[in-house]
Amino acid sequence: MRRLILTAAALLVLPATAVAAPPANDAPTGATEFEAFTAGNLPAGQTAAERQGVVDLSEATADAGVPRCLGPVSFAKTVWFRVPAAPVTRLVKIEASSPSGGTGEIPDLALFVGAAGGAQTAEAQSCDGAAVGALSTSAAEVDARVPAGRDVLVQVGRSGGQAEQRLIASLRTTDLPATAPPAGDVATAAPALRIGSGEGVPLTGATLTEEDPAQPACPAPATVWRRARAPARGTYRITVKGPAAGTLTAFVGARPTADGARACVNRANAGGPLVLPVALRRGATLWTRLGTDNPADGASAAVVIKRPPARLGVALATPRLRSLRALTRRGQIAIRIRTEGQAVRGIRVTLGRRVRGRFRGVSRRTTANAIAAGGSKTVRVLLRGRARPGTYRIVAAGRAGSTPVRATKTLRLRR
Amino acid sequence: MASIPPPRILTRRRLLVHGTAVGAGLAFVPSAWGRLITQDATVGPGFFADGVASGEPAANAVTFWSRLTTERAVSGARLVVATDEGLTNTVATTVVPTRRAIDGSLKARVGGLKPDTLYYYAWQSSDGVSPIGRTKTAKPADSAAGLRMAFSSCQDFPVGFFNGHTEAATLGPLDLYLLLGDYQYEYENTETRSDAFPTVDLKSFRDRHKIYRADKALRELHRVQPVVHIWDDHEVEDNYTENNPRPSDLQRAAGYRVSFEWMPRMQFPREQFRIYNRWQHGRMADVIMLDQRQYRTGDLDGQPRQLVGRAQLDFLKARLKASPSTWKLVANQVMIAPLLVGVGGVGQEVNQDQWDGYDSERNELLDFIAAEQISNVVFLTGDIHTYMSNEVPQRPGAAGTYKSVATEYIGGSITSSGLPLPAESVNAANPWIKTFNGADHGYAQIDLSAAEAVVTYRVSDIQQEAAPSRTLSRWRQPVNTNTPVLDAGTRAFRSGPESPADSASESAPNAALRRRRRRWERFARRDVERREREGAAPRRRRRGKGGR
Repeated sequence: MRRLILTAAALLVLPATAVAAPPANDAPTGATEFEAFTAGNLPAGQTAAERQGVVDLSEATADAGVPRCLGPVSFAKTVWFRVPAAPVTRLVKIEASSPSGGTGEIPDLALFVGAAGGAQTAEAQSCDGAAVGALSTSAAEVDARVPAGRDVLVQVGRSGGQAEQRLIASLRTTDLPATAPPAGDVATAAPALRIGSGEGVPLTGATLTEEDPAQPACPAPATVWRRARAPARGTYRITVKGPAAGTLTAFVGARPTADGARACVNRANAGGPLVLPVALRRGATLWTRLGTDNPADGASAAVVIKRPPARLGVALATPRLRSLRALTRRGQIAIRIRTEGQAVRGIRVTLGRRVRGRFRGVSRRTTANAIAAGGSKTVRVLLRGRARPGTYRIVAAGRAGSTPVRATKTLRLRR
Repeated sequence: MASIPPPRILTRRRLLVHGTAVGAGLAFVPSAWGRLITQDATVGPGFFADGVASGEPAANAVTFWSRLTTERAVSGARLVVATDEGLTNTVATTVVPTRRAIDGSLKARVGGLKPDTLYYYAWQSSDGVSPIGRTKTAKPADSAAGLRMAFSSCQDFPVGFFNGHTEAATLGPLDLYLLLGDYQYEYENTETRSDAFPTVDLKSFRDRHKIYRADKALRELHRVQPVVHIWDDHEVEDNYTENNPRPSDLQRAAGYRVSFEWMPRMQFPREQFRIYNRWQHGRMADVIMLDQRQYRTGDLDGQPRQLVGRAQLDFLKARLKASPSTWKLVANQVMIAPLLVGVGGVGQEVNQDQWDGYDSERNELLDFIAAEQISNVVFLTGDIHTYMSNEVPQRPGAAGTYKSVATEYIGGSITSSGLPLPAESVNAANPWIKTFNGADHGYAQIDLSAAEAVVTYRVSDIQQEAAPSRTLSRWRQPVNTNTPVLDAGTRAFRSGPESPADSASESAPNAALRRRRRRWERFARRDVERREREGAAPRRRRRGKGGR
């Protein structure tokens, strides 16, 4: 009986399901090609240089397992197009907007460059859409210089909450001259950079490959990678010079992923450098991506990653107050020194007081020396003399020798 | 290069609107979005090769336009608006973002301005400064002051020089300049070369607009006069409709989208390509703009024949009825007065592409105007490349009897070739047509006062660059009448179907016009070559045009 009811219910539901079937290219595996079209003002038999994709998302669904490169509400409904591989490197450019009569809601676009073995949807290489921000005309655009022999999948969709279900996408491909890709065209094969020393980075022939995570704030159709390991914790400054570099993006992690993007910067003027500060932990791998709009013959840039400036922090060893009181009775204070950056080696810690706005050491015997080459270190300073409870003392830590790097902390001695 | 002094910022409007996150999908969402870096709009690289423009003037706001030429996919520019030409008395600055998705176009609508006031403006990138533009806000809602406007249509680049624009730019600050369609033509120029590109997709439409804006006269007009624009068929394809002929979805969307990219016109959020709209200029005039291309139906598609569609027709009727203004100016693409050609002694409509092909809507509109006794409705029309001053008859009788319920002024064409019909025979078959001239080219001025509307047709020799203009005829329409009256001293008709000069422009271009056509060809050839080498070679940096 139950089976009969279920069967009857299924029969009732089936026609409706058939009507509401998703489009054939709802999933990446069903991706269709953009279609050629003609026009009344074209010579007979000739088609337009661009190809079109006319989309109705009413019955389209989202894509399980495909990263939504524009945020969690992006690509709530999608369809897929495929740009077949070509024997030469090409500039692939896709644009999308609402059709005639449509709303001003911006469509979502993502471009996936296939791996050498076939198409992929694990990482989008270029994304644009509603989450990027409103413009005076509602449209989205992605482009990429795609290596020869690579398929491209294009995800076209709309964010959740958008009323418009239709959109029109266009594809334009332009064949590019054969040029060998530069070193670092593929992220995982990025040459290592030495921190502190500059290096020329050729950009000629750069492309986008399947390892390039999209970063809509700083888009570029071609990229070149470099990697470096941070020798110490601190804020490193990446500087790129040369007009051919249009964007600079920093990633951190074992390999560059969209999740590991830390910061990016777009070229702000024709001739100036791109500068990007990035906070790194000691030992972290920094992936530096240079984006270029036109990696023509001779295009290159110079990259230098500077170590962070030296910094010192001073704190009492924990637990702070108890240690202070106890140690004061024994005539000692434990000081935790934290150093950041380069060239902080010998640390001298002095107990003193402020006299007329200037620090004055109490006694040479209150001075302790330590070696702190990045990270934290606890040093003990013997407190002697007439230090009375309730009086104030200043701990000063500085690099041994004459150096402006110094940090101070005021302590109140207790009983 | 002009330089902008440091702006004294009185108001600052951030126009960057971030997308709104609404709802979440059900599918598994990997964390790629977690590192979506957001950035505010900043001034970026680029220069302003395509000039500046302003439009949609209201009493307190104006839309400003320019375009950044840059290779960068992301850039931006600062707009500076001031009350003086030196841009020292700054009243507004804003940073406007642009991206490759909109071809570097820059647009900002700046509010908080004073009515009936001249403003000067410029755009500033990190590499350059645009030419300084001039614009004017509309008169306040309670103003009874007179207005001066001008209008034109149909500018075919290789056919002749845009001398009408040259003069219109020198008229002094107009209250409004109306571009009534066929702002660009989609043809490949078969008269001169076969490799000139037809406009069918985004890139070809954008390249075509670049060619047009390279015209000095058009650029200057945009620089100094506030404009509104309505498109006609050639912004997409000749005489297209929904179905006959139906352009491809991309050609149509590209035509509309690129028009929005290149015009100082803001989008409606709920309908991104809507252009029908209304602008009030004091108590003197209401300017109602129509779209007679986007909503056409009835050509072989089984739907009722519609030129403007129900929603737009209701909008027009509502605006006409509610308008507090003396003059109701309707910016109108195609001719609304009937155009009959005598065949066997019987007048027959010859052009089904204009209102003649859409009797049902025309009758509904004109019956409404008559029934509601709405006075001083004036249609300003383009499309037909012919100067005409018409009464607009409500359901004219077969015996030539009619009642005029409005007037229509058709401002010739900037360059496009006119109708080769004998003027006298046109008037005989169409007694409501008071003048007919398809031979001359130029634009029209309209001066509005509480007593009358005065329309002046200005023409020039389009074969000669910057040739001086002369008055073809002037028409006066006293308030509360629906009849254009020829001004003393000007002629309504000229003899012959076409002037010798006009014929010459078609068959035997002079040296100047040949140069212009060669320029067109060069642009076209460059476009083809650029397509072939796109991205392959470094672009030479342009110098001396507002940037490096």
